Amino acid sequence: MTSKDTAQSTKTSKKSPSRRSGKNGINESKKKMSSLSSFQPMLNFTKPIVASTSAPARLDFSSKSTTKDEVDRKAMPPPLPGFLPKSRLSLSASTRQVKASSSDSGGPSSTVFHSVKTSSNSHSIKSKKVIEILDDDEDEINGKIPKARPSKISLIHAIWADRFVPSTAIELAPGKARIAKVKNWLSEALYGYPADVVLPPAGMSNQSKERIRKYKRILLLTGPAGAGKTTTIKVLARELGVELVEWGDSMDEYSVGLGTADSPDRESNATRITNFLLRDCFVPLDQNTSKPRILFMSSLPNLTHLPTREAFHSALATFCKTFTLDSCPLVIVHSEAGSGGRAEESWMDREGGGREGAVSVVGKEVLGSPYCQGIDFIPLAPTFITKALSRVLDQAIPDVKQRPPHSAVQLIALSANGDLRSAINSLQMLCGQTTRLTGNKRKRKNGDIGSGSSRTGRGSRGGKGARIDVSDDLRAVLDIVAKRENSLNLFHSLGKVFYNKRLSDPRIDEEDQEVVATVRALAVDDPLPSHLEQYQRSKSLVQMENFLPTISVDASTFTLWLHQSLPSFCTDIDQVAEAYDDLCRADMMRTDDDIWQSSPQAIAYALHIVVRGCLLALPSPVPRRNNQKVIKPQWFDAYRSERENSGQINLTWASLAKRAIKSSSIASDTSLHETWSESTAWGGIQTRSVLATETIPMMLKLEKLHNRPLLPPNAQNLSLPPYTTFIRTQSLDERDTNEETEEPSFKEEVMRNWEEDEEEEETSWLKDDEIEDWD
Amino acid sequence: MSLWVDKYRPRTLDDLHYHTELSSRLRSLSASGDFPHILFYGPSGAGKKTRIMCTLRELYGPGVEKLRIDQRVFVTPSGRKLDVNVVQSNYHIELTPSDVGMYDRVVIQDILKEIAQTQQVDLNAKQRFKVVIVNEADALTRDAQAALRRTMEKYMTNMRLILCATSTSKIIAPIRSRCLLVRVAAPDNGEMTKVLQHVAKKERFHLPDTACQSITSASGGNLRKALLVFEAMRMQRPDLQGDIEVAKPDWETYCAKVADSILQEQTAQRLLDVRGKLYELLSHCIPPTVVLKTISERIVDKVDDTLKPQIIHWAAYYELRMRMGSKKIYHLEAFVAKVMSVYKASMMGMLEDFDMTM
Repeated sequence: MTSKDTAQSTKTSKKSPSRRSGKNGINESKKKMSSLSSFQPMLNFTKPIVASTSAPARLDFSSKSTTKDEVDRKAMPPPLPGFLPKSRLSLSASTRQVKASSSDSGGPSSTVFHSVKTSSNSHSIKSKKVIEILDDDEDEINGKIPKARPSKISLIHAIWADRFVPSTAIELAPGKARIAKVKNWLSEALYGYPADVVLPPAGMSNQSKERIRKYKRILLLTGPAGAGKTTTIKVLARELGVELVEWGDSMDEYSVGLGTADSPDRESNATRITNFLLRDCFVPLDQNTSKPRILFMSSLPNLTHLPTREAFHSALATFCKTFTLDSCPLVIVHSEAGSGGRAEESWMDREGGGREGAVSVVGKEVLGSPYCQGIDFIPLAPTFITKALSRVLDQAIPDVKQRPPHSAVQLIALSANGDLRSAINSLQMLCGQTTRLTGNKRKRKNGDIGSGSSRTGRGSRGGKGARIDVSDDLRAVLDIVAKRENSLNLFHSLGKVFYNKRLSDPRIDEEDQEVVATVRALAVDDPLPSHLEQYQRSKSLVQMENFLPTISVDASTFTLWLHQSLPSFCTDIDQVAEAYDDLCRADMMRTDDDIWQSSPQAIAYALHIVVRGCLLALPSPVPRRNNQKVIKPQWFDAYRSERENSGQINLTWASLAKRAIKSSSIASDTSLHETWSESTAWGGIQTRSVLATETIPMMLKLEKLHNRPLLPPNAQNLSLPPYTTFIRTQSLDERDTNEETEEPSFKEEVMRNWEEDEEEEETSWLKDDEIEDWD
Repeated sequence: MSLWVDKYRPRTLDDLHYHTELSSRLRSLSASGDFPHILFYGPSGAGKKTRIMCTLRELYGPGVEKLRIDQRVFVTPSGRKLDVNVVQSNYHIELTPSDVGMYDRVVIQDILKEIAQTQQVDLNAKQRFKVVIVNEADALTRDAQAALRRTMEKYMTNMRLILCATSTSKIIAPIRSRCLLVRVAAPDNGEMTKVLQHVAKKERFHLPDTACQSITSASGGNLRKALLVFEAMRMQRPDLQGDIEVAKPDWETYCAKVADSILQEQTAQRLLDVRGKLYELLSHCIPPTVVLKTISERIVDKVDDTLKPQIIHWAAYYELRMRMGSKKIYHLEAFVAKVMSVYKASMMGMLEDFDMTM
């Protein structure tokens, strides 16, 4: 076996034998072990090199120059500039000594590798190559790697979102209040008192600290992707000096379900989680070296699989209840869908395609219990994103001149939809793009073909004021970069419909001249017959063939946006009625049940009907008024609360049914006629609509009159708010006139939905005397 | 504490206050030993469920009231899982498959198969078969109804079906022909008065005729609603004297106010205000068709006779579209806009010009 191994290594490595003789002692012993233990894999895999982790295998692997580069860096810190092979050799020799003395299990393979190099002089050409590669990277290494994460090897090639993770809490993007809340929680959970108190309050006994810690078991961070949940936790943990123990989701997909007896070596997902929670929830025995620990879960198990979910929930429930002095808290990070404002997501929500609400993440019992606290992260406001982007830019491109203009950054922030990660990605792409773009231009202008310095992004182009003024080519680049949910494009296309520009308009804007020319060039329409005269319109500047592809959201979302703001652009109710009629017609083409199945043609037709219907119905020209605002459809909020309420109705149903069943079974036990009057007869399952329209509203009414609880406390939300009569608010109009009606202003209107900063909630922490034991 | 509507719900066929002939027929059916599949149909609040439970009690005795509630999980062919609340005793099982929308077929098939394949274990049971109660049978999809039809024949020995529906029109003919159709008509005013007086007597107070009349007229043949309203009114004014306001559910008054505001002003701005109210109603799970109906009824009450047919026409028109479409708000609002436009036209005396052909 040993001889075979050696033969293989000689064949693949093609290195001089003298190298191996240098480290023969270590190698031989290692080989023996590995060949015994990895016998099975070697039979299964065609390449024994990959399967076995023995020293010769690693040696072969690293003989290719690129991978060697990586292994090199793994073994030692980035080299200094002007690094020479010679000094390199001495350094690696010293590392070998260090490594040899330590008993680290990962050590031997890399040590072996270096020892190989020291002993081989014929290898110098290859190592020179390696050094060249390193030299290329060198300036980047010096300039950019943040001190916080120097250990990552692949940082150079990582995306900016990973490379420029904030290292201090001040740099974090989410609102300060929210971060303070998380920080206090962590501190309370670990030490029993909030973080903003420097020393533990004087009168605080150990016992009361314990009591606080007892109820700080699970922190659930929810919010849309890219809101900074994970980063917040990681940075705060570092600041507090806490070790994060992360649940790794590296499982094989096939072993879901509860582990069976015949495959004991393969832990199932569910048991692994249980074990993770139970085993790791204690501080390791070695008290001296260890920092306090926090369990951290960002990738959750497959919660759509019922047994897994049940196991997970029960594991969490036990986790909550088992508290000792040594246990550590758990932080769960969960990205929620549906806050992105896309209509289709509502559908996906309903189908529950892996996107779960907070309830299904931790389970109803745990979420309702005082052990669990949820902190909801909201989409980041554009100002926050701009700030974070500038920070990243500071780190990424040290030269101020080479940075893209500030206006471009603002534009990215606006179009990121509250997702910082995607904003940073866009920024990175933009910087790559501007490089190429401006580089090309230079070539054309100066004929300066051989120029290696390609980074000449023009910083001076962006204007300053409130209005974001970006040159056309930059805007074009941005379009490509931030295409995803480009709200700018959305507003642009909405505006095209709402302003309903036609050839007959008395005033034609400068920017439209080109379009006007093309539309003029089209053939003249025949006049409509007299009975259709009411539909006669002048030619529209919106040419459908060109217009439809520019819509940056899907058809039904676009329709929702149109629907939301259309009335304010109409002068008469008849126009609204006409336009809505077409919205209805289009809506019928996409029924609720087969929104996915309905053919793409139908969707296209529906969009045509909607846009053409609106254009036909809108007055021409559309008068410009101050209250014409394009705002985010209310539909999303209404939909969300409808879902919540229907959940409440289900819960109410269950509690009513339980009560009725309880009393009716008592009656059936005694089966005496007299007791009947005290018990409730089972009236059968009430349908949801009966509950919503008859039973619950009347019960709420009765509750108010009686002062006796009829419904579970949660059902109180189901009462309608009092009807407020419409007052033509003067204040509303005043506010309108104050606002500039230029294009960006209605964007800001949308952004208002995102809280700018959350100063509202006073961050109160749990006081000792507030705690009641809960069971 | 329980509501009167539950407290005074009759438990046996003998306790029922009206449709006595129907009660005696059900009694003789239960005694015959040859119990058929039955389809109960009638408007909401007429007493279908009460009669079903009474019949079951007649069939199996008081043991049928020993209920338990389960949450069953069904898995669709596509792997999605559905939670369905199921109420059952040893002798029967009650479910509402339409809760799960288009996946109701899976629920129907699984439950029926399960019931049909298990024999009656209780040797003392009066009947050899179990009963499956299917609520909202008229909301079942065609697929589910077809599945139902097949199992009805196949498992007749072990199982009987009791379907409950508001009308037979949406139930496929093969099922209708396999069931005994039992119509439970809404109680008329006299019958309702009888029930209300019975409750008043049990609660030991006097119910004046005027109050009784206002309750019966407000509840439109829905006894459940009548009893709920009755209880609320009794709480408001224990003596129930004089003309007192009928306690309606909040959303009904809300709808009425929305209707009034539509007639007040017909502008785009008003439409936007109304939209907010509509969203409010929808987000409280009031079915959009009910909202449309309530608003249009209120408007019809208020407008001139010449406009009434038009309002009804547009209500029907958008109701149909709403059923076919997916986003209910479009259709509700389109109705509101249309009504505003029609009303405005008539106000301006331009009715002659309006296209009456529609």
